[in-house]
Amino acid sequence: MSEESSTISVKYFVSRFLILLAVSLTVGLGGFYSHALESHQAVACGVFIGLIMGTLFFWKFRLALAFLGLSVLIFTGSLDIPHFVQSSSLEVILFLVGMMVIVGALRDLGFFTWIVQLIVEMPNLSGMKFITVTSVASALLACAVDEVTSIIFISTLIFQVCDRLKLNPTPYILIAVLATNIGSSGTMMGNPVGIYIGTKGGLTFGDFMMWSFPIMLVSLFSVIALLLFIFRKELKKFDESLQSRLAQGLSLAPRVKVPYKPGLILLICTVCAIASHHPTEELLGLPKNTVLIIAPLICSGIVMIIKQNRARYYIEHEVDWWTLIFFMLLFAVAGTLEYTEVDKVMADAFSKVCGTSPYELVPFIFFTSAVGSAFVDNVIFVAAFCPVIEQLSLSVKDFPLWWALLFGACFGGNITMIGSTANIVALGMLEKRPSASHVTFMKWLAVGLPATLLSGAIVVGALLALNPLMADRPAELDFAKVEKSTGRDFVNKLAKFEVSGVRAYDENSASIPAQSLITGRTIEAGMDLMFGGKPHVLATAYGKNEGEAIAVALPGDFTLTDSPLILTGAMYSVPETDAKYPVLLVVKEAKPPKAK
Amino acid sequence: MSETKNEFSDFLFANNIACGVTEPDGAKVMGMLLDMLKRHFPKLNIDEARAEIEKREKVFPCIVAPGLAVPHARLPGLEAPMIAIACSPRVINYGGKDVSTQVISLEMNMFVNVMVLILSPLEDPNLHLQVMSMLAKSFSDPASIRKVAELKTPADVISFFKTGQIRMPEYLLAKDVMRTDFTPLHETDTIREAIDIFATTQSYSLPVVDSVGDLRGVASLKDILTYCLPEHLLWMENLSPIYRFQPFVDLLKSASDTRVSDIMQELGEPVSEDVPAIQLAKLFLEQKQSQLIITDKNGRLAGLVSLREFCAKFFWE
Repeated sequence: MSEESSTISVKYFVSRFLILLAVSLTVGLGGFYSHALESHQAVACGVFIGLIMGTLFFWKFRLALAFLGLSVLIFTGSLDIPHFVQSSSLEVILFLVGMMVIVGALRDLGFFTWIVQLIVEMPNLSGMKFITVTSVASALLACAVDEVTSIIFISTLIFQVCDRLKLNPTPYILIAVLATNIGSSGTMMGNPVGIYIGTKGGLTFGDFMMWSFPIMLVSLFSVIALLLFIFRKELKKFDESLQSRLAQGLSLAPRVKVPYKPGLILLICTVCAIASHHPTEELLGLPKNTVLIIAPLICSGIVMIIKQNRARYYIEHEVDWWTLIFFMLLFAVAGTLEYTEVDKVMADAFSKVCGTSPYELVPFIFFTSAVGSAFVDNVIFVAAFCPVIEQLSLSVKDFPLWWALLFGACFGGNITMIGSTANIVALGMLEKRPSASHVTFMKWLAVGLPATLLSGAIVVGALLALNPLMADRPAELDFAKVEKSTGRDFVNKLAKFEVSGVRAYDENSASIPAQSLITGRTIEAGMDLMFGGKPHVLATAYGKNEGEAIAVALPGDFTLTDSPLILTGAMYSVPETDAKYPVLLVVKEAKPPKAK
Repeated sequence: MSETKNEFSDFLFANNIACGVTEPDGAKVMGMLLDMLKRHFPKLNIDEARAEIEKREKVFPCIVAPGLAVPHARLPGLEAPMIAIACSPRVINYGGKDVSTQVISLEMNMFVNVMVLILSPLEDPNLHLQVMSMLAKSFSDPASIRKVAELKTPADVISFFKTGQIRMPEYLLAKDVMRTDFTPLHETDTIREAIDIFATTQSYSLPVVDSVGDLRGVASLKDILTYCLPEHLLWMENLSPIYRFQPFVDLLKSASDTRVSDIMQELGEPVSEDVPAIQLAKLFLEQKQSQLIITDKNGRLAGLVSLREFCAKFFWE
């Protein structure tokens, strides 16, 4: 994605539009005629690819293209209005609106001014210290507010210092941008993809703090060290200019005492409100992530009451409606992939390529989302990928996959100069500076790629190492989802399964081969089974419809019943295709369903 | 206007030229010129013309070069420019008894040898400026003013302008509306020196040149202000931390150590002196600048056009 000049020649427009049309039609028609996709799926894929290419070619018209793409989907019946509304992820949009208002208020309150003054007035300043502190500040600001806000403010600081020292700001801006992109993966506030993944994946703020933030920090410091090495000559120059200026008794910026408390209090309150969303939801019995979404709205609402004279300004000028509407339509278009079940097709393809092992899935998802995000808006990528991971979550532990997607989408933005919105914003600011050197695609790649490879290696290694510690979350399964025809392979997958009753195991049924249970022996009716050190009995759980049944291994004290139950346990696929039961569920817990 | 009138001399008539004028009082010479024009153009309202001339004299200097006064006005209803010339080998006191009614360049005295009265159609600023431009070219050599002053007959005067063959351009160019009387800043000047120059010349922005006179950038009062007030200080809604102009202390302390080159902005696309003047209007509007720097064919500084001066020329000069 790139900003082109204010006018596009007709030739450029027509040629790019024809390419866009050709690729979209090829994908759609190719998928349809190769029988990989049904008609609605083909339309959904074609429109989605068209939107991706549209954002690449016509970044300025992306909203118009999103409008038109959505219209095509609705006209062709690939999406209906209720699903459009549902898919547009209004909760994510509202979250971002709230955060943008808060950012506006923080600026008014001098919070960002205070941060800049703090850095500029650091004692014993040196090049390395300045770059390290600026990078860390950039990353942490991205965590707290968002990456674009962070890079805007940090860039201003860098320009101020470089103007005073008469230095080319380009290397320092590059470092700050890379740090910002890395930092944006630390929390769900750092990047729109963070909050989107958080809501789709059911991840809490606490989850981000426990898993994402530490990995981000390690990646950040590693990349900073790498960049300090790459730009060591520039740092030396920085030191020389700085010492020369300080020796003359001159400063980097006027010394001003900036009041910081109101802004700091606002930020702390907002972060605390967001951070405490999970315990609050548990306490009040609210659905997951409800409080997460409304926390910024509460804080921004209070801010707008306190600062009534600026309330309208915040809504009209601080909220980037253009981008938010684009995101909303993007989510809706991506939701079509789910509505038309393209996500299942993609998930099946993933499983066939990578299997169900996290040691294959995690690197594959990270790599794919990183490379994709390098060239395409990471929001588009994540919007398309989330349904795939939701599908995969039915049969594999999804926790590490969501993190792989998050880190891939955020870190991938570092690879190329068009990889993330923060890059585009920073480059735009650099272009206006006469003292800045031009950044080419290859120059950026020469720095961005090694940084991403290093941080990517850290992330993948960390996720795989921490995978055993990550809890498996129960997938909500039913008889349709476990059928052999779905192609899903369950291997010790934690699942919640609703059944109409449990009866004795049919003795005429084929025995369950040992391989499906990793017990080392064949399981037959009536035999004593031990799972997790506890005795279990083989039984049959059945559904409402004729033929719906799965094998279950129940704790020894379980009483058979014809009442509906929600069974929670480990799901295993039975490998034989002609087996009576497609799966075996080793039950840990059985509860009656909640009254509706 | 006749399509054949494309030289300055085409606007001159022998009856409107007085040579060897001995009257020393500028106001009386002005009256004489107006009477000459009245005889040639009976519809001319002398009182209206005089009032307009005096109104302009309060705002614009009419003594445009040593020895040359060009009182002028733009009147409604005129079909063509009317020009009357008075030449005096002695001096005409253009200042008159009441100096306060005159706007006189600080560098020139009030005594002139040539007075060129120009009355132009109000509705055609382009024509007025073209005539003024042709007159300026005619007297581009300072010695020519003295030469014209000593001419004996109106025919000689007309012949002088004819000889110059100063043709009316098809349209005005940037060089026709720019001013050249200004002092550029040097990139090695200190901020303190720049502040002094801004103060004395009452300029808002000035071009910056290097030691050999090549354009290096432009510096303005806004740049000095920006230097005092970095962007991040202006993010705050409440500026009470800087109510006492604390950041300015920093600048004033370092004003003798900081160079103009530290604060100047890079030059935008320079404007060639040969571009049509109307292009300047477009640049003013599109680039939202208040001043344009004009360069010659070699890219060297040629002149300046400020928005105010540009508008003045077309609307009320």
